[in-house]
Order: sequence, then C-alpha cells, then structure tokens
Amino acid sequence: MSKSSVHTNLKQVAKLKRVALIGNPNVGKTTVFNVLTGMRQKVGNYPGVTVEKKTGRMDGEVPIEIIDLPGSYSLSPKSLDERIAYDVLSGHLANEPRPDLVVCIVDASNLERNLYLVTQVLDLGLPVIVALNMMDAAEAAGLVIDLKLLSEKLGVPVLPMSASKNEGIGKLKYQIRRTDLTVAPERSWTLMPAVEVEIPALIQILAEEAPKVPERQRFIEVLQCLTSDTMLDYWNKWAPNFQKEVQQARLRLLSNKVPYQQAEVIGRYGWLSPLVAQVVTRKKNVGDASVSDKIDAVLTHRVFGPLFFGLILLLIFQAVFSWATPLMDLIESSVIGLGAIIRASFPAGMATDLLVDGVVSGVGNVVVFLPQILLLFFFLGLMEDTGYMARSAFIMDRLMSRVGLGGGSVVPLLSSFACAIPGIMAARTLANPKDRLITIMVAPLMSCSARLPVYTLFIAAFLPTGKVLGLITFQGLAMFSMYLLGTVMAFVASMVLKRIVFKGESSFFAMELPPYRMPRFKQIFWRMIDRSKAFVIRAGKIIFGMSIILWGLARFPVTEPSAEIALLRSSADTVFEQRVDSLASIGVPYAEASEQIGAEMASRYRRVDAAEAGFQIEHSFIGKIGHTLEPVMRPLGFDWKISAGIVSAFAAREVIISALATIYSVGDVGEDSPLLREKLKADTYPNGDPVYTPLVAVSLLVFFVLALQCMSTLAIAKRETNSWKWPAVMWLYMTGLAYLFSLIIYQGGMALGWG
Amino acid sequence: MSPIHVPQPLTSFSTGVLVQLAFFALGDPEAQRLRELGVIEGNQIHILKNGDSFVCCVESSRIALRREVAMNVFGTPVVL
Ligand SMILES: Nc1nc2c(ncn2[C@@H]2O[C@H](COP(=O)(O)OP(=O)(O)OP(=O)(O)O)[C@@H](O)[C@H]2O)c(=O)[nH]1
Ligand SMILES: [Mg+2]
Repeated sequence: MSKSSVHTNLKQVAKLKRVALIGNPNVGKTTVFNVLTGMRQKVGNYPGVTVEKKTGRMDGEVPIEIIDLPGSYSLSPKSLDERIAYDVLSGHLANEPRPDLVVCIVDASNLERNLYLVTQVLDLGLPVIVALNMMDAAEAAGLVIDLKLLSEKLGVPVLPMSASKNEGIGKLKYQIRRTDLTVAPERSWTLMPAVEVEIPALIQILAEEAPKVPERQRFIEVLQCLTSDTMLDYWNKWAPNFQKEVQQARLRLLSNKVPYQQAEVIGRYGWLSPLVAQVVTRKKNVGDASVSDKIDAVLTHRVFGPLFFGLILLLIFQAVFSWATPLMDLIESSVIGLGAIIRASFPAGMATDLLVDGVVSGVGNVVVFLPQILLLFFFLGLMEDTGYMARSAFIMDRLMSRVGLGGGSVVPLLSSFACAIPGIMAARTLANPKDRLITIMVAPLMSCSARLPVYTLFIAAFLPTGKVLGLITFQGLAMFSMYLLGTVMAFVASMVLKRIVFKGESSFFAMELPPYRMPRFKQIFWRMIDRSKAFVIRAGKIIFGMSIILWGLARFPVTEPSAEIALLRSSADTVFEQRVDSLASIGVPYAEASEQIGAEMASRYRRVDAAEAGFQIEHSFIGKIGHTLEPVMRPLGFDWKISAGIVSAFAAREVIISALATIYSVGDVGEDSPLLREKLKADTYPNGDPVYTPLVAVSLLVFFVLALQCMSTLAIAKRETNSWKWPAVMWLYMTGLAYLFSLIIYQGGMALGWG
Repeated sequence: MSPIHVPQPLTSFSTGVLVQLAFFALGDPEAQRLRELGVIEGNQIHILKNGDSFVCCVESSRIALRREVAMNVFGTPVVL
C-alpha cells in the first residue's frame, strides 16, 4: 500500500492505528518521533521545545499514525501545552478518538519523577508501552535498572533505548506494530482512605451522566475534577450533576480538614517510591558534582553568569554582522549578474523590466540576507542543543522578576530573536496566564530576523566603519544596540503592563536544568536548512508578489513628463542635431558623427532620462501614496520614498527593501552602481541635500526596531489570545512607540545640529 | 544526644547539605508544580547552590528555584 492511497482512502484513515508519545519535558519524545516517522520536528535540550501536537506516519506494511505531544510533568495540566497532552489522551477533543496505544517516554536517569506521569497514564485504561530512554545517560550516572522487575510491577512492556543514538528503536517499532497489546492493569495504589471513600459514588454519577467516558477512564476523570477547576469546568455542559456532586465532596473533605489536594501525589508516590528503590541500584552518590555542575558553577555564577551571557549575545551579533559578509557579497553580485543576463537575453520592454526591476531586484535584495539568518539560527541552535538556553532562563530570572516576568519568559523572548511567531507559541509553556499574555504582548519587540536585512542595509550604508577597542566593529556594535533597544523596550513594556494592566501576584520560578550535551551538528544543520527554506519560500511568496505589485505601483499610471523636463529633452535634442550637422558639414559621415556626439552627450542624456524617470515615479501610485504620507513622516526625517517603503513594509518588514529597490531601479537608468545602498547614498532632495543622513538612518532604524510590521505576528497573537483585542493593542502601542521614538530622535538630533 | 531539628527554609542550608523536605509554605498550584518536578515532602534533596539563586539536586535532575521560592520550602538536615 502506498502512502498516497492511505491519504485518499478515508475508510483506511479511520482504521489507522494511532499511537501517542507522552512523557516529561525534555526526555526525547520528539527525538523518538523523528526516528519513527523520518520527520524533522524540532528537538532541543530544554524543557518545552514542543508546544503543539504533531502527527506523522510510521511506514511499514500497515502504516501507523504517531502523535508527538508537548512534554508534561503530570496529567493535571497547568499550562496550555500540558493541557494539549491530556486532551489528546483522554479523548476530550471533538472528532478525535483516544489513541490506540500510548508510548510513555521516560528518562531512565530520573525514574521516580518520570514514573509519576506513567502511573497516571496507566489509569486511563489504554494499552501502554514504557520506553526507558536515555539509557546511555543513566549508565553514565551509575544507575542499574532491573527492567524485568519494573515491567512486572507496572504490568506493561518496558523497553530500554537511547533514541539519539538510534539504539532500541527496532524493538519499539516491533512493539508498536503488535496487535495483541492489552490494556494496562488497574491501579494497585490507593488514595488516603478519607478521599478514597468519596470516589465510587462520584464514578457512579459520572457513568450515568456521561456514558461516553470509557469505564476504565472514570477514576482518573473523577480525581482530576476533585483537584482542578479547569478540569471540572469541562463537565459544565456534559455532566452538571456530576459537577455539583464533586463540589459537595470537596466541601465535605474540606470541612473534615482532609488535604485532598495532595491525596493523589501522596498516593502515587507512596506506591512508586518503594518500587523505584527496589528497581534501581546506584553505583554512585547522587549528590556528587557532575560535569554539568562544574560547568554551571561558572556559567550560572552570580557575576560570570550574566557577563558570559552578555558576551555570547555580543559575539552572536558581531558574527552575524561580519562573518556573513563574503557570502552576502557573492549573492549580491550574482543577483546583479542575473539581472544583466536577463536584460541581455530578452528584448527590452515592459516584461523584461518587470522581471529585472520587480522580481529579480525585489527578491534578490532580500535573499541576500540569507547568510546572516543562517548564522543566527546556527547560534540559537547551538544554545538550544547544548542546554545553555535553560541556563539563560535561570540567569535572567532575577532581572526578569524585576520587570514583572519570570525566567520562564526568557526562552520565548530569545526565540523571538529568530521570529516572533515561534516565540509567541513558546509562551504556551508558561503556567501563569498573566505572564503568558505579557510575554505574548512584548515578544514582537525583540528584533526578529526579518528586521535584520533592514538593519544591515542602513547600518552598512550610513554608519561609519572602524573598530571600537580594536576588536568590535562599530557597525557590529550598532547592530547590537538595535537588539538592545528592542529588548530594553520589551522589558519596559512588560513592566508597564504588569503594573497597570495585570496587577497581581508575583510570578513563580522553578525549572529543571537539563545536563549539558554535546551539540548534534547534524541536527542544527537540518534546522538551519529548514529555516532557510522557510525564509526563501517566504521571500518567494510574499516578497515576489509584493515586488510585482510594487513595480506596478511605481510604473503606473504612465505620466507625460512636465513641460520643464520636456524642454530639457528638446533642448538636448536641438544641441545634438546642431553638433551632428556641423560635423557632417566638414565631411564626417552622418552615422559616425551621431555616434561621436552621442557619446559626448551621454551624461547629459542620462540626466534627462533620470529626470523623466524620477518624474514618472513621483507621479505613480506609489509616489502618490508616499507624498500623501510625507507630511506625517517628514518630522521623523523620512521623504516620500521612505514613507512609501514603510507603508509597504506593514505586511512584512523585509518588503521595505524590495520597495526601495523597486523605486530606485525604476527611477534609475542602470548606469550608476546597481547596489541599493549606493543608490540610497546618492539620493538627494531637489536642493541638493542628501535624503539619507546618518540621523535619518538612525531614526529609520529605531522605527523598525519598535514598529509592529508583520501580518503573521498579528494573526498568531489573535490565535493564541482568542481575540482581536490584544493584537490590536499590540499594534497600536508598538507603532505609537515607533513614531514617538523616531520623532524624538530626529527632532532632537536636528536641534543639536546633527542633521 | 541528637539535636531535634525544626524545619528550616532551604535557603538556610549551605551547599552540599542533604535535606529532608518537610512542608511547603506556597500556594497550591506552586506546591503542585514543585511536587511534579520531584521536590516532594519527605524526599531528600542535595543543596547545590545557595546564593542569590538556588539549585538543588533531586535524584539525578537539577532543579533551579527563585530564591523567594526556596525560602518557602522547609526541611530538616539529614545527618549521615
Ligand atoms: N544522552 C541522550 N540524549 C538524548 C536521548 N534522546 C534524546 N536526547 C537529547 O535530549 C534532548 C531533548 O530531546 P527532545 O526530543 O527535544 O525531547 P522532548 O521530550 O521532545 O522535549 P519537549 O518537547 O521539550 O518536551 C535533546 O538534546 C536530545 O538530543 C538519549 O537517548 N540519550
Ligand atoms: Mg518535543
């Protein structure tokens, strides 16, 4: 059976065996998922990499659907990503039955805590396999695990493996394919008696009111409802009586001072702890400092920690700015070369213009930044894969708690340096809904990779070269300042939001620090490839489309040149004719004469051409848009061309580059340097003043740091907050900030005479 | 005569000490989160770092806590 026939044949899809992977965060679920399905979902060494349910297919005679879930410490969900895991396993999602098999991925070096979740999963009454992952790490830590005994006690198969080394996967595949797996045995642990006596009656009511809940799942549903309000709310619609009974049971327990909230933890651990003690033998002392601890002694040190973190960030920006240059130059010259080849091999005309001025220069000017984006992802991948990302959250927690957030917001904010969309999604790991909302609201202030092209272009064109302390280039430092400004503003914004909008309790921070691991370069490499593919496709889709539209807007309506410009041409023509005639009169052949004079008058004609093209652009649609906006943007130092560029960049930031490229190449006759930054430098107002001074460039840069110019960010914020209110607030405050800051910078700079 | 230990906040122990956890003076959701991370009443933990931030060792995992959280977790030292 081929893959495509499975996709098309609905009956077979319905019968497809579904296997869910669940486990604590960072135990290697996605690593296992990737090996089973051959996919390349994101893997990283910090808790909370996966925040969405992902499905894939394990090929074989009978294909099987594999579901990767966000990591979860227990089935009592606190954050959104944990909720997803429970919903999938319990069948609470509409149109999605419970999986046919659950594979619990367990970190072998941390059995007790990991098995807590396993005992919860066992109570769902589904077939279960326990995959003991990270056996390599457990052995290194001196742990010996009696697998046979563990399997006997749990009553389900237990398979040892090391997913990242591809060990033990074959056996897992075999077990997953088995069709004779039975459901997990019933629990052999008990709750404290005062709580236990309440259970049967509640199970009874639930069974009557909601018969669709499978018999074996009732117990855990009751237990969840007893301790969690969100779980209880779910039954509002389905089982109102059950809900009332649970509330009464809670009151009874409360009045008898029964700590029922802790009953589950006490009960499960009461059974687990002795079991683990029996199964695991330690050859080393637990408290002995590991290699990771020694590294941490330095990297999370009170003084060196933050210092090192700052250095790392500085290094990244410096590298992104300078190491990428050779490759960027190469791409730049290929783009120019391509344009020239197209011009040479196609007849001159509208279509060729569109191709060269619109498409090649629009897309090319953005693709140039690919090397920088690759480098940025390389460094972020390195941080994620080694385990340093989790430390950065820890180091930054102190500072973050001052601005009203917790260390948990660090990873979402750092991911936003790549792109605000994964950053906003990563906020799902935050258990506190206020923290989550604030993080979502400020994440787009972190400079994403789409701003990088804009920063690079303007910094390279208008800020001085040279080095500070002979080490760091001035331009690298300028780049760093852009990132710093965005970050500081994000902190200020969250402080304000916390103080004014979400008054309330301080946030909480407790996080697991995974052991440092050697980065897996193959994995980082593939992530870089995947991300750059996404970037190029984006450039292909949005920017390609926008380039064509922009070119059209710049080229139409076709306008007759003004009388003044017409006069320039006719007087040039008159001079040309006179000079040709006078040469002809002394016996030079006509063709030769006109060629000679043509060459002599080339620069004059070029000026005439430029005047005509400039007039065309100014009176085109885009010119009109720019001119309409100019009065508003003038105080920030922006002329009509920049204004038009900013308008077009509201869909996506990089578009400003295509827009400027289009405006300048339509208005240009192809003689000067084809590099956009050279054209920008050469542009002047009619009175001869340059359009771009360093002050204008800084004002523009700051505008791009702060403004929210990204449709996709708004869309994702809408999805994650379930309303248009927050995205609207986000857009307004960020754009307002951008305008205000650019205004202050430009006007202040002018007043100080820096214009 | 062995001293009778009154539970103390985790931040009062020095690094390297083995502590038996007694109780949490935290809200329910916070206490629950700690328990899920393996920081459970009755369990023993090693103090790895105790300064402006706090790290402890439970089994072979390292748990980082904000100092204000560690201040509200109480335990007694285990004498080996
Ligand atoms: N030593 C060792 N490391 C492993 C093993 N399996 C996975 N890892 C590493 O563990 C880290 C976490 O792996 P992931 O697959 O992202 O874990 P996850 O469970 O999907 O994590 P979340 O999505 O955050 O819940 C990565 O750095 C992996 O390379 C293993 O068998 N041994
Ligand atoms: Mg994952």
